[in-house]
Amino acid sequence: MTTASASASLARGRRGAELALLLFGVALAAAGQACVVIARTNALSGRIAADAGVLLVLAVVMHVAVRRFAPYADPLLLPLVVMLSGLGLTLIGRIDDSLRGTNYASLQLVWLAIGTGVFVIVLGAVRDHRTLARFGYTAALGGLVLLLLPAVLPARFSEVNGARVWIRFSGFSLQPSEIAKVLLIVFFAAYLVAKRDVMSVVTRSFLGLQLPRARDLGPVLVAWIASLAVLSRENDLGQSLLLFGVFVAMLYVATQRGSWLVIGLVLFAGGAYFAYHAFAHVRERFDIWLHAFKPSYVHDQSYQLVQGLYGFGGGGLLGTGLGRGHPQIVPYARTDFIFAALGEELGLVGVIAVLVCYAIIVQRGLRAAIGVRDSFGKMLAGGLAASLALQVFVIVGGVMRLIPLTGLTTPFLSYGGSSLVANFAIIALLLRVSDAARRPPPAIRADSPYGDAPTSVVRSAEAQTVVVSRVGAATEDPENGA
Amino acid sequence: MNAPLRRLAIALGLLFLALLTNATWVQVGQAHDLNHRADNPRPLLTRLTTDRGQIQLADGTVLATSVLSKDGRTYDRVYSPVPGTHQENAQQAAMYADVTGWAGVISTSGIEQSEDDLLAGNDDRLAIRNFTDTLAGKQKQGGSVQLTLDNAGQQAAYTSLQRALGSSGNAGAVVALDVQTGKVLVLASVPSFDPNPIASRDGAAAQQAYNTLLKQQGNPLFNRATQGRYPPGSMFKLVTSATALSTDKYSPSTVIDAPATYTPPLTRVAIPNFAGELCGRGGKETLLDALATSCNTAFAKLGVALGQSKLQKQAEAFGIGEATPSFPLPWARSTFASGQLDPPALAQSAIGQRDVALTPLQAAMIVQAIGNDGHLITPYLVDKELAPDKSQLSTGHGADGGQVVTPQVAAELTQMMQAVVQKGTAAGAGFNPALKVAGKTGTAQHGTTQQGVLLPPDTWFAGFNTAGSRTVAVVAFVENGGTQGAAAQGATVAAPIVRDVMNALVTPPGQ
Repeated sequence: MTTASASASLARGRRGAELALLLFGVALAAAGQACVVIARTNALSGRIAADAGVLLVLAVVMHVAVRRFAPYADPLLLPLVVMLSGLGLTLIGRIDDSLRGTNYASLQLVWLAIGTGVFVIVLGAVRDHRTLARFGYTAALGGLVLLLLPAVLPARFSEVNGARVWIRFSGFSLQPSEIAKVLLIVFFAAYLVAKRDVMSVVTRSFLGLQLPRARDLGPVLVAWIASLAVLSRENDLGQSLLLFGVFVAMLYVATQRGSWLVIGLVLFAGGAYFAYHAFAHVRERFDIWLHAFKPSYVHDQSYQLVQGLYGFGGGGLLGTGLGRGHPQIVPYARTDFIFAALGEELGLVGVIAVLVCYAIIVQRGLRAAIGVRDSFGKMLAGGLAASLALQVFVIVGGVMRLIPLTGLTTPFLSYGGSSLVANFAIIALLLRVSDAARRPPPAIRADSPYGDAPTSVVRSAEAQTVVVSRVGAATEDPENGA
Repeated sequence: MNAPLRRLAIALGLLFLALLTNATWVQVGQAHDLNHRADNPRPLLTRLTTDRGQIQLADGTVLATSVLSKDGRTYDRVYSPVPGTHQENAQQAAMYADVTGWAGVISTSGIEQSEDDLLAGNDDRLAIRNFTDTLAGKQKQGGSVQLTLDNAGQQAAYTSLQRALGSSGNAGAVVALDVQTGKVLVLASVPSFDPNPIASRDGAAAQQAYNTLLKQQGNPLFNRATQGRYPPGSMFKLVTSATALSTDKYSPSTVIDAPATYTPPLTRVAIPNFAGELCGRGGKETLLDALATSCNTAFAKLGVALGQSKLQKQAEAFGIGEATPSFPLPWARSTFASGQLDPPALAQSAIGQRDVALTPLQAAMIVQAIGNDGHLITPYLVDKELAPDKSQLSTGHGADGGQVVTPQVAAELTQMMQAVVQKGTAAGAGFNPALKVAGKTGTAQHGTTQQGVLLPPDTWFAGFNTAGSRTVAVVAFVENGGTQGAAAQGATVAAPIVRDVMNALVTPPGQ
């Protein structure tokens, strides 16, 4: 009795804390917006209040949805996401201002509203994350279709700057691979939970590694080949890297076999080697990464990377201040290189703060994965958290020249509707799993005859079954045979 | 599955750690290099929105200032603004262009470049000020630079130089130093240019203005005073005399050989005197008279007698052949000799020909040392560095260049140089007798045309006054004799320029 009620009181909702943090996040975004406006025009403007107001409304809508549908969820996830989205809005608006005549900030706000809607729908429709496990193969199909759709469309509907990852129609551009990524992670989670016992079987030892059976390599190889196919048909280096990385991570978590990690790394290395030699644009990316400052590259191939680095250098420790730098010099500053704009105007301090925000989101996701009791929830949350972490690593690493540059978006910061919507869906799913993890176990009814009686295992000699009986009440209760 | 999840968390954490470390490296470790790379447009763009500090003179003359433009956010750089307006005085701007340089969207040069950190407000000494200004919401301001130049002297130098050059298309330079402190009072190079078009915010227009100047005849962008290296000719006899006087064997009244022509050992080519004149009587004269009449044969023979080692050491003590001291403008090294000299080469080097090449600024250092009792002070151009609120951040001063010659030798040299002006080659130049000027003329051959005709000589005059409100050392250099062609001499072309500059800089005693 005491344990049940004790655990019920420990599992508080923490929604009050979430609301307070949300308000702080919106205030921070508004302050950033104010900095930009003051720096550019030396006066305040009503636009600051209007933008902050819209952001506040969306945040409150999401907060109410969480209160209603996932009252025990982690209180940190939503405020962090809202703050990053607000910061992204500020930066996009600031770049708009320098480029005179573009108004992507308003579009981003529209997508933010759509993202809020998707968030509420996902949170409301998926009341128990375990139901998603039943739709594993459907998700896989949907994911693959979305992934390959741009490849089969003619180039004028699907190609932007050499990467065929878009669907464009009547002024809108969608990146279906972002949504495909979420569906495929759902599929991976469902598949791996179902097959994990099978994939944990080992046949032989090799160099100290326990190798799995050859036939179990099949799905992994399929995934590997699919990634390469996506890469070759669509020139999307980043997405294929991400999908493969997430799959290998989830495989490791499901089977606990280090050998899968090694196999994954070997396949990755082999794939990279093959890609380097087969695809010119991969070679080019590597070349630019290694020789960014070569005089003949600086104004040509590596211009974007170099200007981004100059932006970071110009920001230094404290940054130039919002509105006082020149982020618009960098090509694609509002999408791929939004982080360079952040680095220039908010400096190393801002960069570290935002990276820590991302790290906290990932950590909360993994916390939910560890805390939830069912395997599918662990796989799902773990996979989603890993995909966020890997995405941030790949794009920020590329922008800051740690690794070669790829065309991934920076979650919540960069301009892009599909990316924003998909990431909000991810957060909704993480909140769903987190709610399940932190929800107190169902309390045992006070009038139950069993109450808190200790239990023991009884093996029946005849049947090959195991019977659990309640020891204390056994002699008195006629329902329990001895 | 919790164990692998935990390990996955650690791995992802390491990835983030890698990102943070890399970010720190890029934004702190590499920041300085990235910001100073030539193809980085950000510092140049930032210059447009900075209230850059002023470059000014002690008497309040403003040489460069930032003017807020019509859009209220960006600044234009104006050189020599007419007081009270935002228009530029192109003539005055041209007078100081070699010193101020320019700061525009395409590049920087001169003082604008060497003092860029202070002028742009990025100097470390302004850091705290900048921080409190940011908190108070004030615009970032650059510090100001006050130069040592004297407006009256600079103007006199320019007017005089331009008169001497006329429309000949030749070039010239003037340098004046304060003898006791090493302050650079005049630094002029003609032909010059107006830096305002190069500092235009329109990058294309600025580049075009720069390219036009690069190709212009007479090379106006070249600072002859600090970068030009020319044979000093007879002016170098000051160094030869100093070498001789520093040994125990010579004094101004020592009688030395002064033949009609002198043929050094190991050669049959004779060194003549100027226009074949005879020096002294009977092939002999005193050292003082030899300098006063600028006798080539006497000094050539003297040089051979002294030997390369002593001459070279004395030249190096003056700074010739050594690396140039720290100076805010690029300054070329002067040369005495390249390698071992055989007697004919030594004879010619002793009279400032052969491989001897001096910058006008280096020549000024020679007379500054002599005028300062033999104590050399390296020249300095920046008098004061000021913070935006006009408080002083630092004052400039010349560095100790060492005792080049003893005070006794310096006094003897002064006596000899006064003779040059009173009764020697510079007697007709019109120096104010009240200033008691001591100097030396120089008329240097510097080659022939393709047809073998002798080029008009380079002309020099270097001197300092020994009476008056202050002591200044002035050097004037005029290439190819200015307008006087083959008949040009240091006394007729360069000396009048030094006279005019001295009159502008020094008040005679009793006035």
